[in-house]
Amino acid sequence: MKSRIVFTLIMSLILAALLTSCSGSMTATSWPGYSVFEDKIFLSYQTGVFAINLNNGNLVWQYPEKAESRRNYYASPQVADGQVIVGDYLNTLHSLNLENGTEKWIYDTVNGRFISGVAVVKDTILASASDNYLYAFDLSGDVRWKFQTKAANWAKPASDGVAAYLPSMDHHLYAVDLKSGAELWQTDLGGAVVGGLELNGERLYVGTLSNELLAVDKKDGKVVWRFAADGAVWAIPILKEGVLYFADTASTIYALDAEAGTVRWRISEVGGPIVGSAGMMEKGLVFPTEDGKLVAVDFNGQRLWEKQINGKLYSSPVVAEGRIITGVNDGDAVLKAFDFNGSELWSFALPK
Amino acid sequence: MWEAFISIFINVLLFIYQVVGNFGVAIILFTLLVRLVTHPLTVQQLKGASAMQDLQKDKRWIEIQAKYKNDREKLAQEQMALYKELGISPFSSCLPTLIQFPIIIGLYQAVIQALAATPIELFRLTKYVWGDFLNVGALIPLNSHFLWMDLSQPERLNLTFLPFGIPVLAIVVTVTTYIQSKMMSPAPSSGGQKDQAAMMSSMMNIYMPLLMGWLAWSLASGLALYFLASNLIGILQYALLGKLNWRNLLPQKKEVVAKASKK
Repeated sequence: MKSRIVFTLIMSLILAALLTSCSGSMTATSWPGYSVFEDKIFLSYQTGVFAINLNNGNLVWQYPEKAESRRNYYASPQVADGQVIVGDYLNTLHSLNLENGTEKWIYDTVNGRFISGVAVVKDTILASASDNYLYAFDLSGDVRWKFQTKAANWAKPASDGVAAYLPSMDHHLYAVDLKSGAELWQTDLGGAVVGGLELNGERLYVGTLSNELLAVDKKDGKVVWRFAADGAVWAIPILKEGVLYFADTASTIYALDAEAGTVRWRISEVGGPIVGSAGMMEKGLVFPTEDGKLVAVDFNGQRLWEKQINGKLYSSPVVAEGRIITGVNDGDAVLKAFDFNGSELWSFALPK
Repeated sequence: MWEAFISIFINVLLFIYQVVGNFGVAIILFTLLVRLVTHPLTVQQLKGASAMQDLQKDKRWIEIQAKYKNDREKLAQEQMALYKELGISPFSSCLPTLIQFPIIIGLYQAVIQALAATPIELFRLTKYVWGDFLNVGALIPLNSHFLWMDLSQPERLNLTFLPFGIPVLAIVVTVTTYIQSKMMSPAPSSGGQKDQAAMMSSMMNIYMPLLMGWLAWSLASGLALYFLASNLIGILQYALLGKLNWRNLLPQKKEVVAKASKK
């Protein structure tokens, strides 16, 4: 009897330790979010926001001075009006001084995480949040309006200056009046949207987790065409000269005619699943794969080069000043920069 | 191997969710299913525990305890011989507990993975889901709300007139774990060695509920909901097998311990 009790006690303690270690996953994780403005890259990752020199990968400033373990940043920072605007996973939107990273204002009366970066249109900040709302702020951080959806919002909103467009996890695409926040129309896309949408002329292009890419008329929300992909389409498609470029989790890269939704070319089995958008170079596109490959293809679907990186690639590469910047998960660096031939220029690891 | 194990859990859990449309109900039904599947192990555990209790009343057991009380090695040999002769395995009641461990951890991971709250977590979840079995596109987003709880977060009931949230689920888990462990403990009896066992048992009855309450307080409420459902189903299961000691809930035990201490 005694040994059984001791055994149960020891096992319970082991279980407690195991579950507690499992609860490490309670700390939110995701892939790095970043954007480029002038000669700096603004990176959100884990407990901080970092300004990094685009030319050499050196740290310029970081925020906050003292990191909070529960406050994580993964949404892409957005620069507007001398501010770096970035949301965190502890329900707060921050505005930071562009030059030194000091805090200008915060908005913390939201009930959900900021998963994606904000969009700034004229003097309006559009921020989607996982508390089922799209928020519109002025540049001082005061709320102008908020618009409710049926589920969390992870995708980045877009705007043409008249309406705000928000694809939601609730399977719907919403158009909202930019001034008032009143709904203009909504369309059932048939699947959740994580990344965002490409806005061009009269069309909106959006990929869903139901393995589709759709073209939607921005006037009334009618679906113009839908294309069945091999896997889920997580990221925003890239439009160039009437052709949409995107990839899916089945590791297929597509080029579609944007007008008709027909396939121009496709490349299957590129590598691991692809959840990031393409980065656009002068002579082609570069896609990130989960198994750590950067795959460059030209606009005709011919492979240019591949670069194997130590780590996993989920974030969308950004191309600026002749450099490809890509975020890395589970590797020896968080950001890496390459030239257009795939040669590494620099890498950035989080300061210890 | 472990990934495949988690994958089964996730797909079964999501299948139940797909049918009932509520993640809290899905966790409760899943717990019931796990309890049904592991029911033969529970029966085996009870039989083993019962045999061990009977053994301690056996004349030969008492004799060898007295005879070899100063020779631990010989005592162990004699005990093993007696186990063998009576066909009792001293670990038969521990094995089901061991088997429950990966199930609890598997369920916890399934709940956490299924309640993916960030893009990378959602991506990992989609890799676990069997595409031919479940339609990921239709399933996502999962509704993680059950009653007042967000099952992906630790539970607190926020009332407007209170400046802090009340951890209702943690309290209920602590209470039900206490009731469960008290009702499932064997009836106390007198005797030197048994006094020690009774003392340890009563310590367990205090520490275990506190441990479970702390886990329910600090981890995702989806897991706390599993603990609660598991406790209640466990009590029901023992009741159906006629193994509940209702008397343990009454304050009789103190008298027995008091009497024993006078000896």
